[in-house]
Amino acid sequence: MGHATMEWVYVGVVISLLTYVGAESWNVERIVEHAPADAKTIKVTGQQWFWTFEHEDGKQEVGELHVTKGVPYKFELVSMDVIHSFNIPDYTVLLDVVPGRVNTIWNLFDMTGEYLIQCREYCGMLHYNMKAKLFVEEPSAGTEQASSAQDASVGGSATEGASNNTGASAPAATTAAATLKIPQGASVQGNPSYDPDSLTVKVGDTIAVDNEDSAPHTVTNGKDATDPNMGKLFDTSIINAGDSSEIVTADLQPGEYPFFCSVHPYMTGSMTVQ
Amino acid sequence: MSSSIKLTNANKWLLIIIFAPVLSVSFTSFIFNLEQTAVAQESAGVTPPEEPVIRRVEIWGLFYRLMVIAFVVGAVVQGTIIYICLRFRESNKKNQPRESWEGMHR
Amino acid sequence: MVLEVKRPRPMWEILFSTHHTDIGLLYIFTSLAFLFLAGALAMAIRTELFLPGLQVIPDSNTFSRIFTVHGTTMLLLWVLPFSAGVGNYLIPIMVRYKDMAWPKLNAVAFWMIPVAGALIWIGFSDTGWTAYPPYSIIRAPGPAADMWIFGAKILGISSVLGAINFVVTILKMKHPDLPLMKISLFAWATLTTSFMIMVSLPTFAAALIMLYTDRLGVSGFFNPAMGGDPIAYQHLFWFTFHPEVYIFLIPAVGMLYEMIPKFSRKPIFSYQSGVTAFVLLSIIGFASWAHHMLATGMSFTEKTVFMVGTLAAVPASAMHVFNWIATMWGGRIKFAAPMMFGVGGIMLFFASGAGGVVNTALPLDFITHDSYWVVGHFHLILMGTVSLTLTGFLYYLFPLMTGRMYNERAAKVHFVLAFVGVILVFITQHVLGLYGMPRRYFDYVPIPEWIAMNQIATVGAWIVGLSYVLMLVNLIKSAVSGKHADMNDPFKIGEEYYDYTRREPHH
Repeated sequence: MGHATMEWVYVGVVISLLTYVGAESWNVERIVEHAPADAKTIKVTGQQWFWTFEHEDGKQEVGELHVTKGVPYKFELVSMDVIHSFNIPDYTVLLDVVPGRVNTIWNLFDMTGEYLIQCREYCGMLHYNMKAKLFVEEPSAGTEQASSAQDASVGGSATEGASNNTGASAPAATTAAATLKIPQGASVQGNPSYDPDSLTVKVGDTIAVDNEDSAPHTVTNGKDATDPNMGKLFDTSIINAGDSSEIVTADLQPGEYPFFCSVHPYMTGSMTVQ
Repeated sequence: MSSSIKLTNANKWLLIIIFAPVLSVSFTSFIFNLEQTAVAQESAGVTPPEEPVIRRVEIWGLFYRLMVIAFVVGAVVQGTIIYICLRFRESNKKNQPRESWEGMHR
Repeated sequence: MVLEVKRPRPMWEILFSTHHTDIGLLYIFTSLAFLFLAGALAMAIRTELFLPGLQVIPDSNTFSRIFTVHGTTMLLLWVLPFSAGVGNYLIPIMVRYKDMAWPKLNAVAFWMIPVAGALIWIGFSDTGWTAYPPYSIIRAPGPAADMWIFGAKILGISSVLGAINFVVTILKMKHPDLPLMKISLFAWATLTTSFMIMVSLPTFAAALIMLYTDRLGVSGFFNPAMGGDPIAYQHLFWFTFHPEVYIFLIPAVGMLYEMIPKFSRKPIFSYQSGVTAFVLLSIIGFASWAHHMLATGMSFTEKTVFMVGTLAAVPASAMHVFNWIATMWGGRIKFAAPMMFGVGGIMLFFASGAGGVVNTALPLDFITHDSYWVVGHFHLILMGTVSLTLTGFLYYLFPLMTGRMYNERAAKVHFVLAFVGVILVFITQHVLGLYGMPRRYFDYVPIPEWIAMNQIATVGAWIVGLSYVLMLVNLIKSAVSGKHADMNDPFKIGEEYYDYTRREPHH
């Protein structure tokens, strides 16, 4: 039908443009692929539906991550249940978190501030709510040595983040008047969630909460996550598997208070204060 | 409908359209190179410490470079299609019926 | 002047017919029904995302179910059956045979579709249309997920049976005087597509069985708790569904090759290059599946290989675009509604192709992966290019199917609304993805840019929805009381139309 030459020229041009695109992308990928040797490791655990971070020095943070500006970090991603995707959109950090595998990705944070960490791979009911906060902080002032500054800063902020946990899981000073158990298997929808699921206490009582399940849970006041007053009256925050926490009812008015698990909102119960 | 190539006006335009993206890409990569050499010359005296790779900067830089190509090529392709739609539409007065072609699908 | 079907036939005669035009009609009718059902779900999704917070969908679980069924239906119950329906109408005409090679097999292949559709719609699974394990194994509630698996399975069998029928009809039942290099490019498109279906689908079929036994707990192929690997499923899945993208696309390309030369009143610029591009695309399409998985933690080498494989498919698609542009160049184009849809499809084809190159350009995948960019990208190809072309071809076939003409003005309004709407929805979603909004989010953080772009996209979606309602009204009204079409040349372009006498069943 003719004009074959014109078409060959066109195909040649398309191929040369694509070659340019491919070569450029390959080159940039090569540059960003490998983590520098001095990168600090942060272990990231994804599970339905929150993030846990563990720093090199063993400090744990749930739902927020404190890092230092100008330090390369290597993230080791593991999943406890289904596939998630660890994503910090402002830093173009993105990698799937696959159960049974450890994926790594590294990044150097060059701007201070608060950023969003989110999940990008559909992981179930609260996929949209699987978020965490990233705080990028200046290296602590006054220290010349960058590395020691990082340690101090990371340690300091991590303690702050972890203090909620340790505080919550510390053994109760006063003897508990009642015990609320979270039985094994509670994280699966349909299983019994709290034992007992409605309990009655007196004002001033302390309730011990034991998490016997293999997943983390909370006891948070409110009907569900849309309740504007959720967590205002009492909230244990995350109780890791096997840990325990407590609820102090000293400030509560008599009445009935529904509560739920902010990780698994289908877990509900209620507490009557007399 | 001959198989030999004649440099008709239409063919000239096709050639120009086809090569415009190549020219623009070579031009932009030349500009980007200029920038890089300028930076390199400035810091030539001081031995630069190993530049940390910032993922965000590298990736978005690549994105913008590719967008230059995409938008140039896109403008050419979409522009050509729009031009064809206006120039070769049935109702254009310049457009005479070509008896040799029409009804070929009968 | 007009040959209607001689006597009105009772419904059951069409339903139990094995004649190729009857089955084609059933295919097209079913696919349109599913288009409107899944379109209603799309409207619900977009309306929900108009603002952050709860709008019309009661909870996130329902939302997940809705996007799962929307995706599955649009891909497997709208695009595939419609293309198969058009193939049923046209392939026997194009190869000059009285019917498909195996009419009864043809009917069986069709009747699987309503069954599978019912399974998928009654189950209303929440796995996402990709059904990635381990979510689909350990978390997705049954029986919905199991019904989805069986629905998809039946659709796979139906496609393979249809594909075998098309291949045999084209290669074996072709008129002896008609060389393969003279059949219409649409027949070539169907031929290459059918081969791709036969090669790619068994992998997905196997993966579905493995997924099902995993759900039963008797095996652990994809369950890490039992030593399996969830990534293995993704390889099997995308080995089917990346070629499947071309299976969705190539018939639409073939339809454009039917419409563009005729409405341009000009022969195709280069028939050989069209055939070459079809064959090339159908082979290279198998070399790029893992570009859907660049973010699963593959090695640098793997990523490079699949980037090159993906980029290699671009020249073949670009050859088609060149072919269309060169065909229109110098023609005398009549812009009837089908041609408008066709040209609109070509314009969006470039945009979606360029977006695809960005997705595969390795590091850029870390910007776009699983964000609204990806949603915008594949909707632009499937809605913008494929569905607009299919819609155009539906208008083009309308006289052949009904013997009547649709209302041209309403069809043109439909095109303008749909084209503008598609651009509003899907180009905006590209930008939304660059701002970092992930896909499959029931609710989102109230960032002002996200809200603004979601609202633009939602308004666009309403416009598209409205335009398709207009089409529905137009088609129903015209089928009942439209003008009788001039069956030799219904579009008055002086070119050949399909042989309408085919609508008379031969037995």
